[in-house]
This record gives sequence, C-alpha cells and structure tokens, in this order.
Amino acid sequence: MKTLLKTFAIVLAVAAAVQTVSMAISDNTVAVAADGHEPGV
Amino acid sequence: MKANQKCPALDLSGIAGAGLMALFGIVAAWRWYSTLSLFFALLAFRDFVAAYYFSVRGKSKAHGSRFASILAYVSTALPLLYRAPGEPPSLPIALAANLLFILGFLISTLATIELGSRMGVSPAVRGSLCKTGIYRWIRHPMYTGYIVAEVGWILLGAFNAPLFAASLTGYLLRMRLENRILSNAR
Repeated sequence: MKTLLKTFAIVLAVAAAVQTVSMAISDNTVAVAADGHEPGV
Repeated sequence: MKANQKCPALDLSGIAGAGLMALFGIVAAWRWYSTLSLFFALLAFRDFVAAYYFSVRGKSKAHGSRFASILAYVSTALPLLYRAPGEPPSLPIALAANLLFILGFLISTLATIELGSRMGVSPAVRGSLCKTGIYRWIRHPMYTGYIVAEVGWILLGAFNAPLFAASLTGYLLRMRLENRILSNAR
C-alpha cells in the first residue's frame, strides 16, 4: 500500500511538472490560480 | 471473542482527526475547483492521504498540550487561505510558483506516506521515531514541503506574505514542540 501510494505521488508530481513545463514552452502560458474563476465558463 | 482477548483500543482522536483532515481535503478540492490552482489540487491529495492514515493509526503513548493541538490544526488550515493575484503573473514567475508547489507537495506527501499509521497533526509519540524514506535526509519533511510550496504564493503576490509569515511561524513552533515531546519520550 505504501509503495503504491508513494509511486502514485511521484507519478502525479512528474506528470504535473511535465504538463506545466510543456505548457510554458508550447503555449507560452502556465495555469495559475485565478480567484473568481467560474469553472466551465 | 474470548474473555481473555483484548479488544483493540479505538482511537477516537484518530477518527476525529481523519474527519477533520477529510474536511480540509474537501475545502482544498473546492478551492482547486474555483481557482484552478495546482497548489490546492496537490494539497487535497495530501490531505486525503493523511485522512486515510489517521483512520488506521494507533493510540499515542505521549502527547502534547491542548495549545499544541490547537496550534497544529490552525496551522494545517492556514494554507487553504492563500489568494490568487488579480493580474496574471509573468511566465517565469508562474512557472517557478507551480514547480515549487509540485516539489513542496511531493516532499510533504512522501513524508505523510512514510509516517503511515504514526501520522498525527498534533505532536505525539506514536511508535518508533521515523528514520526511513525521506526522513533519512530531512528531520521535518512535512513542514519543509509545506514551506517550499507556500513560497510559490509569495512569488504570485506579495499580499500573501503576512499569511506566509503566520504559516511559517506555526511550522517553526510545531517543529520545536515535536522535538521536545520526542526527546522527552526517549
């Protein structure tokens, strides 16, 4: 259980980092918090 | 059950803690939904992992004062209050903030998993001192992870600095209280 959770946490972090960096390179944007954002709008 | 068999002690504080951590996780998930900040998504994941370990943890052998417990829960709730900037930040700032969120929560989540059933918010002795995994390199990885992640909020807006200062003070106090209770229990 511990190993599975640790693996998932590492995969999640790597995926988030890859997504963030690839967005910065390709779209020249990085998604950051936007208070007042309405999901789906 | 035979008369000489002992029923395992029910850790009510663990169950209450699990409920509270799950509540923090729900609030973090709601903030993620309303702001789309990666910080709150990772915080929600960490809080739900913590809630699971709270629900299966053992009874503590020694625990801190009521002040230490209140400080711990308030300090755990503070990161839910960070505010996003009105104007979108520059690309390098946004990138740096998101990478700090990811690194910080990776450290903090790995520490939570490593502690497992010894997990607690308020300082207490629950089994042997954890010296495996990320605890081999960092003495207080959970707080270190939170501090790293929360630095990202200062990059996004200086108006988050007072909240960061309060949060940092809370972590430093908790580290001191934990060190004291762990050294007294040895």
